[in-house]
Amino acid sequence: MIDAYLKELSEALRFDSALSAIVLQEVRDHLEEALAQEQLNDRQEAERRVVERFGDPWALAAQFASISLTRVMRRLGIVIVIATIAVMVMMKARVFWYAFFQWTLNESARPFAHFGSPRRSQSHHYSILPAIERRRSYKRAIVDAFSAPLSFSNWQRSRLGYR
Amino acid sequence: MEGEMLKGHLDMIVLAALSSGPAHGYAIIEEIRQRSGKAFNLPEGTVYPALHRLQQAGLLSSRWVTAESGRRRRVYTLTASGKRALADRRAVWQQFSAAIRGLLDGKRSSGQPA
Repeated sequence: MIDAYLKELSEALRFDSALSAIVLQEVRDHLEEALAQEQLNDRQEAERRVVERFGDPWALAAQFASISLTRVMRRLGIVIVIATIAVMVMMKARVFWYAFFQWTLNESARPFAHFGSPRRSQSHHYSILPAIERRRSYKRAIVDAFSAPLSFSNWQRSRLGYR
Repeated sequence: MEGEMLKGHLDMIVLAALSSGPAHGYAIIEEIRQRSGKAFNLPEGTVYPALHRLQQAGLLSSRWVTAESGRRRRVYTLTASGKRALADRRAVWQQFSAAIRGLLDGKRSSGQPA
């Protein structure tokens, strides 16, 4: 009966396999400990009492759902922060790359050149926002990040929206 | 005692049960049962989501140990913030229960409002 209960709980917790593995191990330990304290004249009856006292597996899983959701949201938050930092670093790296090869920086990319500099005012840092907005074209952002737009032909530049 | 009434105070009950030292889930439930004079009769499984939630909030820490029986079990301990949270909740509860007692006994309270 304990195995059947754990199987049902596992089914109810399938929304989070990592959490499910931990909970199942804890619950198995609890049920076996509780069984060890029972009079074992009738094992089946003792298991039934232990499982009944523990409560409905689906109700238990519903309580774990909010814990799992909080965990997922925290991880998502961390991923978003890391991704934002990575994008900023890439933009900054592109500016250094241009400077290293002495390429001309496209006007819309200039605010990135001074982003993060302590000598620049906060309002200057906000000027990066319209620059990001101007780069909303996906294709163009990729080209901006990995190659030099000034080396493109007029036809290529017009296709990508450069003047 | 009513299940719904208990659920509202479950976090404080679990923190209080762990105030005497580290324990695993089954031992926590036994501690609650003994210290409440067997008055608290929640489904035993209800304690586990509370333990996970309190750990997520940083009020408990846990580690896996191997019991004498050979089974792996998770032992929970109050953290420093868990001890502070328990002290805060204990103070609020005492104020609240004194206010309710005064109300039910029909006496005027001279203390601060809960």
